Amino acid sequence: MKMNEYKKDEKITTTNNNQLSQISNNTTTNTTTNTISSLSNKKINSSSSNNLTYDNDTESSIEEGIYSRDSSKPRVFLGDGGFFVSTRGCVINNSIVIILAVEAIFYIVVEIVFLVLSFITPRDTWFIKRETLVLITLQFLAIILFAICGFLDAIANFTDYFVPFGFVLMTYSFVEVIVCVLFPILVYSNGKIKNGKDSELEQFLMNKRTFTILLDFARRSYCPESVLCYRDIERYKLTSKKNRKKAALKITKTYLKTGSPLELNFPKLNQTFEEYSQIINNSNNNQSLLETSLFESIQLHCLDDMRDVFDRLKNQSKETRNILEQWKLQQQLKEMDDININMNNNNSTTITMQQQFEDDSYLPNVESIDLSNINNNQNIFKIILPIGVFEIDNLTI
Amino acid sequence: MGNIVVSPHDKEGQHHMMATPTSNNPNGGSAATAKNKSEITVLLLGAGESGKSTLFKQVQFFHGVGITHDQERIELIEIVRLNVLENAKNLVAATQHLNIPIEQPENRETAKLIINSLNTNDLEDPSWSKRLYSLWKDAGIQKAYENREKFQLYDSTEYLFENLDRICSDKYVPTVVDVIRTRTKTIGITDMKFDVGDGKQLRLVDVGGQRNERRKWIHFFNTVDAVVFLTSLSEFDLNLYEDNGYWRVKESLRVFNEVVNNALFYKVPFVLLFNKRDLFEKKIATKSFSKYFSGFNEAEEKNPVACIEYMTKLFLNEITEHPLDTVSVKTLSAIDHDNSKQVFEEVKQFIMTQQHRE
Repeated sequence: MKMNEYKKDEKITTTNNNQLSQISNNTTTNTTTNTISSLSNKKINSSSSNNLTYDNDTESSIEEGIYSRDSSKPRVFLGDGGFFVSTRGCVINNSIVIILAVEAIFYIVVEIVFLVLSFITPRDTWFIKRETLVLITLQFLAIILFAICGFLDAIANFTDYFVPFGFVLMTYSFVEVIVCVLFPILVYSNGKIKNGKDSELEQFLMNKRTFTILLDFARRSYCPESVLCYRDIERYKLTSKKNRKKAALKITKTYLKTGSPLELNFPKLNQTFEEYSQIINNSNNNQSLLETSLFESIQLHCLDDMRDVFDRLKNQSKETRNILEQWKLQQQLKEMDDININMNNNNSTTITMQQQFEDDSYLPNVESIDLSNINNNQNIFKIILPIGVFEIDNLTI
Repeated sequence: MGNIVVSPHDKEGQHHMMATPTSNNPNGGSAATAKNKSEITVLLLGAGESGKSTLFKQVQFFHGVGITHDQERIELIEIVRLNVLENAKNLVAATQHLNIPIEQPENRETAKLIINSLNTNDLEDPSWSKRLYSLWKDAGIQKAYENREKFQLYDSTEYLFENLDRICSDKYVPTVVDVIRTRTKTIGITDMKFDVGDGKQLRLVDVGGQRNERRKWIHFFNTVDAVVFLTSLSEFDLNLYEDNGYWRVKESLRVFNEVVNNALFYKVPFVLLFNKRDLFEKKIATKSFSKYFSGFNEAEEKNPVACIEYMTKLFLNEITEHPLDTVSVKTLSAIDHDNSKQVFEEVKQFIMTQQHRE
């Protein structure tokens, strides 16, 4: 990308130089105006590429300050002539390439570390893994489009006639917002949150301390099998692909085999055992068969079976009831906090919007927005609607 | 499983209710109580869905334990609603399985929601009462319900659907009858104790009935003072939950044979309870009883007394070792509060007099 711009800028610089030589008799002020006009006559793309690299400007200005004190040191970011040579856009030299490369490598390393972390994490309630995969693919595509196709002058130049080629990356960041923010909000606000939320029993099983309480109680009333099976399936999900077959076999042999000491209370157990054994044996040829969701239905059945024991435990152990009570309280507090935060957010938006209205009182059509409506109504919809109107007005100016 | 660690929380919980799991160590604590004759241990045995837990719940209720208080029944809302959902799901699945289409399009929509997304919290919304009731009254569902012997369905289905207007409300508190009617598969073993006079305590033990659960019964066999064996009269047209295709009556007879002829029980009073008499009487009015029993006189098949007599003979024929004079046979309708109170009282008297004779 940088190389490409550099090439373009070079072209511009050379033309400018020609002009410079032509009008060398003129005064400096004249040269500047001339070059500016000639630049503006050039295609817009040069200005757009200037836009894209303006982030160098702060560094350049700092450097310019340093340079003006001690002119013996070579400049790092700027070409000869420094900051005030307006006849060219940005300059690429070796030091900039190295700095950018180091920066890029740093970010890539960070990204890889987080990728690995996200794939080790066992629980994925919010489908972050899927989201990450989609994003990585998109990122790759964007990089290929930008970095590789950008080298092909034909493609880059042709695109530039319609939209600046640099928009590829901007489009990517836009898509990222859609995939990571907009889409999840739309999907999860559709009531799926309820299903994602763990039941009391599942919560009880996830916590190490309460799990032991339940297992101990189940043991004493002669039904530890569903609790143990639930745990083993949870462990199976964490097992690496290599050991998964072993873990799966263990589960089927311990809990699904008729006559085993920890046989589950499951309809058509024999048939189920046969089905699972077959899947596991076939997995030799096809690794993908042993998915983490293999025992999903069995686990649900375990939860179902545990309901009876869990109810008895709740009835008989005061400690359990206290723990559950506490969890419920915490949950309620959390929900109340969420509501408070939302309300605060809403209030703050109204205030800022009002301020904006007052500040921008010179705007036309302000009268058409019902300000009293905003003041009186706490309803989110009614707050949002005027903002929408306001923004449309703003754009039309 | 022999070594059971009793954790501190066990003792802590004992004050809450009379019914607590005592440390069920077969060689330790219980052996000592067997010598101590102030405690009479009664086992409730029988195959799956024979009504052991229903009777257990009733006995708890007579003794003011568990479900007497509103507060404790509120805890059971989830279970009642789950029962509704499971029944609805099973019925919808059965219409597919039996190839009986649900007739009304809007009921088909409801059915889809039930299978895919409906959960117990949704039932707080009273609109579900109408939708579920309309589904229940759909000709397709009703036809599937008439053929319910072909799939697994709880006995409480009709009751729950008829009471949807109460259940689908955010103010719903399960009644005692609701709790008695709901089905929860018992897992493991649970017990309760109560005083029966003369300074004696009766310890009633409830167990799970499916095949894998039965292997756990043995933990109690050597401490037992009386056995109450339940079997469902209305199961003559049904197959097993754990093994579809296996006739329930055959299973009950087999289990009865194993238990009653067990050497540990030779000297123990034995009660055989034919449960679900109410359901049975309704069932034989519409279904043929003699179709399932080749030895039964077809002309008598609408007479419940004759049918029960036949069933009694069938079961008593299984007894080869146990002395017949310590076996008592009774019929029961465990969902009926008064009937179960009366029958349980008789059972208690029978056991006590047998104990005295010893």
